[in-house]
Amino acid sequence: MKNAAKTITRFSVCLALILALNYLESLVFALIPLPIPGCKLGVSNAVLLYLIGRREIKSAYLLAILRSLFHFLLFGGALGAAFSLCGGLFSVTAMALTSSLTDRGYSFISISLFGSVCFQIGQMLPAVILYDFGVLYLLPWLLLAGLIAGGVLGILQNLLFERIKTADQSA
Amino acid sequence: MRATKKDLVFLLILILFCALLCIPVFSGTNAAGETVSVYRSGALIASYPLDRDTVFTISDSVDLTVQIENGTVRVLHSACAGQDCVHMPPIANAGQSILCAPQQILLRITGSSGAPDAVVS
Repeated sequence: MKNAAKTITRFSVCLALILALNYLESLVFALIPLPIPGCKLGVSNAVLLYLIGRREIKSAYLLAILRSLFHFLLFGGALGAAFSLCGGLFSVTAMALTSSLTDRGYSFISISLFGSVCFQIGQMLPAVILYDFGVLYLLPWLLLAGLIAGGVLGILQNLLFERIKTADQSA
Repeated sequence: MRATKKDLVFLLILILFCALLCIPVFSGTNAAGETVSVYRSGALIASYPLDRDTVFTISDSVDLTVQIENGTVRVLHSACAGQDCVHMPPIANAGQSILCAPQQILLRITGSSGAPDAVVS
C-alpha cells in the first residue's frame, strides 16, 4: 500500500512537472524567432526519461499521452497536440527499447539521444502525412536540435540518478 | 552515473543514422523552383511564377500575405496565432513547402515548365 501511494504521488508530481516544462518550452520558443514552426525541442521529455530510468515504461507512455491531452485542453491547438503525441510515443518507445543499455556500460546519454532523435522524427510524421513531403526540408535542423537537447538531458539525468539512488537508499 | 566511451560510439552511430535520413531530403530539393502553387484545404487556388518579384495576399476568410523576391518565397504576414509560417525560412527549391496549418494554406514550389502565368479560381 505504501508503495502504491508513493507511485501515485510520484506520477502526479511527474505529470505536473511535464505540463509545466511543456508550457514553459512553448513560451520560450514563442519568444525566440526560430525557423522551426510548431515543433518543440523536447525539454519536457526529461520527465519521460526519468520514468524510463526507473523502468516504469507504462507510466511513461501514460504521461506522454496525458501531456498532449492536457496541453490541448488547456491551450488548444489540435495540430500541436498531434505533433506532441506522435513525438512523445516515438520517444518513449525508443527509450523503452534502449532502457537496458544502462546495464551494459552505457549511460543515460545514449538513451536520451535516441529518444530525442525519435521525438523529432515522430513530430515530423503527422506533418508529412497530413500535408506535404515538402516540410521534410526542416528535418536536418530538427535532428540536430534533437541531438543537442538529448545530450544535455542525458547528462542531467546521469547527475539526477546519482542523487536519487542515494535518496532512495536513505528513505 | 557518468558518460562512457560507449556513449560516444552510440552518438557517432546516431549521427550517421541522422545523416542517412537526411540524404533523401537534400537530394530531392536541388532543382530550382519555377512556380509557387497555393493550396487551401488541399485544393489549388493560385499559382505564381518565381521569376517575377511580387507580393500577393490570400483573403476570403483567410489572411496571408506572401512575397516572391529573387526566386524565393516567404510569408510576410499571417492572421494565425502561432505565426509559425511567418518564421519559416524562405523557400526556393522545387518540392519545398511553407505551411500555415491554422488557415490550411500550403505554399509549394514546383519546377514544372510551361505553367500558366497565373491561375486564380
